[in-house]
Amino acid sequence: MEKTDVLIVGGGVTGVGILRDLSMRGVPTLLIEKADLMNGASSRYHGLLHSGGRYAVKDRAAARECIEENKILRRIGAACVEPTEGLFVRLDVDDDAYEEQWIVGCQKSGIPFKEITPDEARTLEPRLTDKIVSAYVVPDASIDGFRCAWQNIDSAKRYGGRAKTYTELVDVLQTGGEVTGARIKNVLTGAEEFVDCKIIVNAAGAWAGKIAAKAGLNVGVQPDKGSLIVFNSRLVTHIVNRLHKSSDGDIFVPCGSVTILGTTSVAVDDPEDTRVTRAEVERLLTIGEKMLVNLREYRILRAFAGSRPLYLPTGGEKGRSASRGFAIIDHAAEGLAGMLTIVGGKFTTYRLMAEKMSDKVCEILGVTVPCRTATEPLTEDVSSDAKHRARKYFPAYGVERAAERLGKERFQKVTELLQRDDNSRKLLCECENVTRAEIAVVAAEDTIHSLGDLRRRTRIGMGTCQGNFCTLRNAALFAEIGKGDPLVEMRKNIRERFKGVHPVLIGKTLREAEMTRAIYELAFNIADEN
Amino acid sequence: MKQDVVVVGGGLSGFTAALMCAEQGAAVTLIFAGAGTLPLSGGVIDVLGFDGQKREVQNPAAALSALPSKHPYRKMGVESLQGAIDWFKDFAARYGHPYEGELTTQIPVATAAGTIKPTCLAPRSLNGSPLVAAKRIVVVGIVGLKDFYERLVAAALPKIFADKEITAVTVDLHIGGKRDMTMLDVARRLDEPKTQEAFVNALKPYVANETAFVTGQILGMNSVTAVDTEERLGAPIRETTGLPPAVNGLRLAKIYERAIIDAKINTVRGAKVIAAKRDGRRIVSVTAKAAARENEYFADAFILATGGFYGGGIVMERFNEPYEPIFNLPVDFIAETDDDLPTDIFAGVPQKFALTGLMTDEHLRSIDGAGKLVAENLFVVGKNLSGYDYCFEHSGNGVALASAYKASHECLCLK
Repeated sequence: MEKTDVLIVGGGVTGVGILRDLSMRGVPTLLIEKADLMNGASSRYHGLLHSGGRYAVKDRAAARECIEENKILRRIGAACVEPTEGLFVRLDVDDDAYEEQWIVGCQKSGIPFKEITPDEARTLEPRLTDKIVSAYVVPDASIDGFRCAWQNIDSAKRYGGRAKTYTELVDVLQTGGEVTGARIKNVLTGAEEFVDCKIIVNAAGAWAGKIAAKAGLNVGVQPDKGSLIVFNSRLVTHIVNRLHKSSDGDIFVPCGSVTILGTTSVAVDDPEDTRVTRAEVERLLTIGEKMLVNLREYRILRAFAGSRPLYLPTGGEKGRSASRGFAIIDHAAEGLAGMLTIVGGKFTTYRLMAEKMSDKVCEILGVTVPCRTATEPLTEDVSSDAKHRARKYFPAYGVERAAERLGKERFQKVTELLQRDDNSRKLLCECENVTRAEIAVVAAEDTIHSLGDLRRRTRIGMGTCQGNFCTLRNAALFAEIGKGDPLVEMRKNIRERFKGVHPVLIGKTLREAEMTRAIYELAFNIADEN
Repeated sequence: MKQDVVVVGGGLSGFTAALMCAEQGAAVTLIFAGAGTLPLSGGVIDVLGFDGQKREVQNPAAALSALPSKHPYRKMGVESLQGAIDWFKDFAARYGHPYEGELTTQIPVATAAGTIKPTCLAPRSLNGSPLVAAKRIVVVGIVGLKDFYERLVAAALPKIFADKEITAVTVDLHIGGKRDMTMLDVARRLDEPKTQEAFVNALKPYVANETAFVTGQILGMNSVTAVDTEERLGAPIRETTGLPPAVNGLRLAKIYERAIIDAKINTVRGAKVIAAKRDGRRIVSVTAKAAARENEYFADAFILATGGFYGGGIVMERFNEPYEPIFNLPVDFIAETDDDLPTDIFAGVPQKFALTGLMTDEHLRSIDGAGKLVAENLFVVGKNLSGYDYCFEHSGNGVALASAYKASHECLCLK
């Protein structure tokens, strides 16, 4: 039997944000997530930290929230944010009246912007089309969602917060119209247990309706699928937005070693539906190539999709027109005290959403400690001294990236391992510059159950080779530390990677798929499970 | 200058076709841009490892007749395959890199994933038969070597060899400093007598009755090193297929390189063939683009050996629109819709996209969907051919050799 004050259901960015906030205020809190962290829209999106420019015309309140939170996250989450800046470019075919509305919107929402000439824009981004008629620089940035989530978890742990991944909610226990606890289940082992708690926070995003239903409640959430494609290099160095009424395929985000183009917007019944169709890929390419010339010549790494949790109050708008704002629902009004739901919103404002939800929880529990998440950094930076010492052991260019990925404590551990064990200096991932030491330190943690978990924590397998080379290496390391059967892990990982590849089997991607098959089916002969 | 034959493509099928034509007295020009798949594939000659239901094939020669009628082997017949196998074994032996195996049996090859794969021909160093026969297997890793994981292999092998005693050892040869080493690095060092001796001495303590050793593709770039190492050790030590670069693929590429020089084949390297000229149903010339200029090459017959999607012989920049970029030959492929995408990479059946290629008549000349001849002096070999998924059925190098054999004979019949 677990005992806590608050049980958060959902390990997306909102859930982990609430866990951190409540833990910092001294409220005993446990988070459960049925998969790995960030399984839903929190990671299955651009990785864009909005300046608010995207919402400047349609929703000024959201735009204002974005720019405020953008400033805060750059401060508290420096290791997750890459301050690329963003461009808004209008093409000759786009409505010029929209540009005027956008300028007014930015001014009124407090979004700083600077007009540059089309020539200047093409100097900044040489792949931009010559059809640009106007361009503006705004403080957009890219953000690593997985890293942000785990840094929230690590921070929460320092304050006594706890999280269980691969754990789902089975049932909400209630007595006399009040939440008394929950039954939860480890999906890997099947083991169930009870949690004694006073409050359940439903932060399940696109799954919020399903979680509410377990308590017999109704929450209107429309899963809205957005598909994106990933190119194998940084085609742009800034976020590039098209300056027109928001539509599909009009944002490019440089992220680590890749570029992400998205998104589409399709209402789906089931948030688990993350299939990307070729029709969607074709649509994204057709629109994307209007902004970047020769777009089809670049290699696509993969495609992916996630479901935005659009909140549908009765009679509200749907799809792209639906509000990107968020709502907090206290189900006490419907007869179940202690049950709270948060829906809607967007990654950029997750901290604010977490703050508002935590305020609500504290109000119910009578806790008066104020929120500190806007001022206290997520993680302590690795000192330049520590980086200097580590340079002796890390491969070239590896130190800065590793310091950002690992944070102070793990970086220390990894450096010590590199120092003492030559073998750990092997570069297991040439694409993202990840050493065996880093993989070994992270793989040993109890939250790592598969090569997929390892990938989301270290970026190994996310780069250009898409696991062709590192799958064997990681499976070998997994086997050595006693985590899983290497053949099973390899097969699973190659299958999982291919899910993102089959919708984009054209051009150079097709060539890479042949190579994957030549290695794993032909040279390793692991296709046959018997 | 007009040649008898121009071969386009520098993989196994192109090299073999060029050599076979030259051996029959033809004046040959060989034009290629890339390295083919030899560095990728390990250089073992898979003829047919699995049937359409992914069942392991015991006798490749006997299994050919059960293949679908569109399969290249059905067009070429077992005679071409047998002729190609005989030629290859003779050729490889003459160049000091002999292969073992017959068309009617399979050789077990150990892999770096700790599995066994069937192949038809392999050099002794990759022939895993002694591993099957041994009572004890010692898996050998090298300190500093990346991509061969002795403990992984030792953990996986018991699934196949439940009754054997399997252990892993890691040998420190004090090579490579502290940098990462590939199999190629280690192979080059093992060609040195001093390093080879250290290697053998390190393994000697593990030699016992009915013991066999298995390791990565590291036993020398020179073909004699592997055999010599085994003799000095006094027990079988065999290599595995695994991640590229595949050392044995490079050994094979090396003997082909020597052979095309010996055969006085006019070789144009680093040149990409970009266009062709035709006169009615005859191909007259191809144009190749090198760094400095474009050149036109004339011949009586042409052999196309530019590969499939991997080699760039077939290109698909847009969904369901594959094309052959030099001659614009009709491409045979199965369109995939959104309801029918290949969502599982290990689907248990051949992948439709992998069957893409060029249709031919029984002489390996390109035909269109209606069966009409496209060009009477253009022959298609290797992964340019449609109707087979070499990754699924393990047949790539077998088709490459057999089609080269067939095409070289057919095109010289034109004279």
